Amino acid sequence: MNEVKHQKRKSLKTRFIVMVSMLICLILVLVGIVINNQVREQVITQMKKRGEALAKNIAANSMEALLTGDELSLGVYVDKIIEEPSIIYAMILDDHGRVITHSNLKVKKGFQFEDRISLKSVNSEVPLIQDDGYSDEFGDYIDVTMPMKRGDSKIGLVRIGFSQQEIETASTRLRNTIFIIACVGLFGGIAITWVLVSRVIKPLRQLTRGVEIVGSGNLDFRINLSSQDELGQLANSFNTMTGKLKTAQQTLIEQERLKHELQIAQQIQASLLPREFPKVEGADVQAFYRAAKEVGGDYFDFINISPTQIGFVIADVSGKGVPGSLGMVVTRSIFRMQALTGGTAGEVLTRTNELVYQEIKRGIFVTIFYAILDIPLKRLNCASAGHNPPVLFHKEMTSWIKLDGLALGVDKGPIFNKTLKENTIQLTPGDIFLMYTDGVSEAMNLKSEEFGENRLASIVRRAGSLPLAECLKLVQKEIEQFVGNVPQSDDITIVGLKVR
Amino acid sequence: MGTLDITKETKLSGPNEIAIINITGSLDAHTAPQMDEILSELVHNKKNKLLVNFIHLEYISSAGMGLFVGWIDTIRDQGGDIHMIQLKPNVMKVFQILGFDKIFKIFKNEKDAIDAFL
Repeated sequence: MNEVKHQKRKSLKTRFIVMVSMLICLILVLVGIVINNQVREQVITQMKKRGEALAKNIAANSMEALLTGDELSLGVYVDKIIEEPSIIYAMILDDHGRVITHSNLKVKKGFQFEDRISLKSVNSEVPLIQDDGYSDEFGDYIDVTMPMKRGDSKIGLVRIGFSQQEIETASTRLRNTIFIIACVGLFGGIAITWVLVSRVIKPLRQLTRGVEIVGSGNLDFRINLSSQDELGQLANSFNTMTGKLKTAQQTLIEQERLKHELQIAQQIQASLLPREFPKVEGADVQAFYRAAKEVGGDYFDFINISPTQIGFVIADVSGKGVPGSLGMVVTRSIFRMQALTGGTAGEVLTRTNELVYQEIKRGIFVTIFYAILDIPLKRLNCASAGHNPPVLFHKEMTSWIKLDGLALGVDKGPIFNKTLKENTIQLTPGDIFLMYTDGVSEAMNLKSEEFGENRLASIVRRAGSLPLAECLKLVQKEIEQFVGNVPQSDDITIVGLKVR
Repeated sequence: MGTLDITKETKLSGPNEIAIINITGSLDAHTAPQMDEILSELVHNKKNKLLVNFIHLEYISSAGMGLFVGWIDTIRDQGGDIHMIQLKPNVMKVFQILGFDKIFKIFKNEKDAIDAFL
């Protein structure tokens, strides 16, 4: 993975360097060409001017010699001219175009050139420059014709031919100079680009590395970039984002943990509850249970103590989630054991409290209501450990079975025992005994009103003559209607006993 | 779920120093941690003579009750106690059903509660 990144980084640098180099080259080449052409033109112009001036000079100087027929002097002039390297030929002709003297000794006196350029030259009355005739490997010759006049009549002419050899040399020298400058410029450019790009690449590399580290899962890492420019800003923004990611991650982890805990608690909860209602001779038993989303931990149970006794218990644990559920499991086990061991409702609760107090966490307590039904006699022996008073429906009236008692798990024994009051109630046919948890009385509607015990009692009064199952269904329906869309915050548990 | 506001004062000084805690609003599962922190701090600093004023407390849940239950043993072991005053009727009812009025010392007014410490 690093190899690929390495290549990518290199190519960024290389790309920059190549582009800058190409740009420098392009500029230098263009400049070079332009300069070269300009210079060349200048040189040629200069050359032509010089040629003309020279020819003029010679013409002026050789006038006398020509008039006097002094061929020797003319020859000397021509020889002198030819010494210049770029002058290929020089000649003095008479007014008919016949050679008087020529730099090339092979050309005899009196010779007449008949080529186009020469004809044009001979016939010219004015100074003439022709560069469209002769040429060699260096380019076109510049042929300068300078007529010699005495007054208005032409007495002869001077002709000089320049080669562009010198221009070539000068041009080449210029080209070389430009080339050297170009190379220096190019290398300089590359060097500077290299340094600049490296400067940028370094923080970019740091940034990339930082992103990799964070990407691999280390959300505590912060990229430390010293520059204040755009890269520095990018690093800062990235660090901020990392911080937020970490917070979000922690929140998510916490949420997942809670959700998981909730699921476990619900599973525990489900396993605690009886799956069917007992068949009691001469009585109907029904229960209704609906768990809240945030499991609180209600439970109810039926204990088959003996052929003539059956125990009804309802309980509510104070802690939520898994701690609550565990507290409930512990309580249920201890209670069940004590209930089966025997004794009055009060005695069972007292023994249960002593054991539960040692087992459950400080700050968690359990409210519990226990009623032992003597089946043949229909007598109910009740005791409460801080639980809501159950409803008793008798002869179309309702009353509350209020019994003092401390919740389980708060006190080791002395205060619990002192507080506990048990009672025995005689039930008659038609009576309904209803235990419930505060999920019922504290069920809230949109207006934040509580359902309340009184509302429960009034429903029981209304439905008291109906079969127990229907009565409970009615209670359930009324609670649902009352609450409406407000989410349930606590478990709702109702256990009912109706004597036939 | 509501909100909870807690303010503290001190009465008397030295070994008789009493920390007065005024609670306003709702003490439920959501706000219990706030109260827990306060109690924890006080107990840690050996300020264990606590007077809690319930006059502005509108609602208490089992989580709130559990909070006091959780700390009472530690505070009593240190030689201190929690005295409660001015409980609203609905809050008092919860204490009574649970039997917690037998566990916690509840007084009618601040003077009685303070005197009971001396």
